[in-house]
Amino acid sequence: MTDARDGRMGAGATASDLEREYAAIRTGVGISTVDDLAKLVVRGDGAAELLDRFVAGNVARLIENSIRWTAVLDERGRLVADVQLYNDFGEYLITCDADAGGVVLDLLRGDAPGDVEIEDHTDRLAAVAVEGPDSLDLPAAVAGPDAAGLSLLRFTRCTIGGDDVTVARIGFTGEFGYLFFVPRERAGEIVARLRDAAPAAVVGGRSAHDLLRLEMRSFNRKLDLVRDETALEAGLHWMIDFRKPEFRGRDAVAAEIAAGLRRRSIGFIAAEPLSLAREAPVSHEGTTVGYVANAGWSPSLERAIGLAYLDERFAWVGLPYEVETDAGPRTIETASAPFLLTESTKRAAR
Amino acid sequence: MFDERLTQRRELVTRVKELLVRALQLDLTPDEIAEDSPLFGFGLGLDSIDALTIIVGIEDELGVVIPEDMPYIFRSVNTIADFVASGGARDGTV
Repeated sequence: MTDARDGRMGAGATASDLEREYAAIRTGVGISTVDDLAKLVVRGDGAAELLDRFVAGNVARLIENSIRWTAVLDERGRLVADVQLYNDFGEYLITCDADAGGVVLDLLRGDAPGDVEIEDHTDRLAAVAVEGPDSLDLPAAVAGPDAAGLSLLRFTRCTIGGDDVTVARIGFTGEFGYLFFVPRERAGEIVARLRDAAPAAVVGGRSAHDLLRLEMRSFNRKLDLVRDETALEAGLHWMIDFRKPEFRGRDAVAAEIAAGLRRRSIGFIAAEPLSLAREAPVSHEGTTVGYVANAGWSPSLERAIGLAYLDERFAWVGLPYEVETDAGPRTIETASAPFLLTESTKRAAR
Repeated sequence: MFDERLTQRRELVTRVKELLVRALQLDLTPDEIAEDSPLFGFGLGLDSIDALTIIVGIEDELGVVIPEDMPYIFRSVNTIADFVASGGARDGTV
């Protein structure tokens, strides 16, 4: 795997894996199992009220069979976890990065009243991801008509091979994307059925996903936060319901909006590959004005792309800055995101 | 030159945000919208009706004509600002 931040190869995957998986998802279909996803279930009469106090997004307005990507904040407005909340007729599935699942579970249990039950289904359920511009018809092909025509951020429950399966339209790469939540021991069978329905699909790992997400500026907690940044500095405003009277971190968010942000995340591009150290400094006329959080080489754009945090005064698009690389200072230009216009976006617009 | 570009961009982005809030009657202030937030889907959750409202607002208030085959400019406040700043030449890609 290529570390998007510094360009080094990590353990367990190769450059060819990354290229193969990247190409499949950008041009065809990629199938993978998402191993680093926690799955928590919250149910009971007080579940919605508990979650509305817990997450920054609005739970009361989340209709049945819909998904909300929102945030769990701490009292300083920093991100504890970004979570995807599924409303299954008053029973809620919460997914988030596996390494944040324990903290989210503990906090939830600490806040939960007696009429709310919380279970960890991470080990019981597997999540199989299907992504790419040619994936649009696969849910129906595998799960039947109940899974046909799912809108973005909607899900349905259906039966595949006798198993209860949740099929959700959600993805983080800018392409059409689906998650199949299945009993873990049945994941291989789902992958085989998907493979049968899409013989050209690439069954692979997740080595390209950090890069695929970066191209869309799809938030990636593990790479996009590096120095205790707040959720607002990271540009996660859209995860927050600013009018909700109560949620974790609300006072800090309100105070930050009132005072103005100190720094802001912003995308950048460069013509040549950049070999960057962690938190490489970004400067303007010799003065450091920020640092790089996440960067990589976009095969589609044939440019270096990245995410930096700049002092608020400097965090605007279309401006040149210098970034310190292993080969000396290089020029970058701040740029709008998403960086890439995906094939799925073009097809959806037709 | 740098300061001028920076100021122009900040003012344009602020105008785009104010236009979105006003035209769509969003219960938000401009400061509560991030420049790269997706406008549809995950982000503000706008729909195709909202897109038409934005088109009318941009054409009326910012003086650029949006072709029918360029829906891509509505991906974020920043991509709208790119389009307006280019006088209608940018198609929503970097």
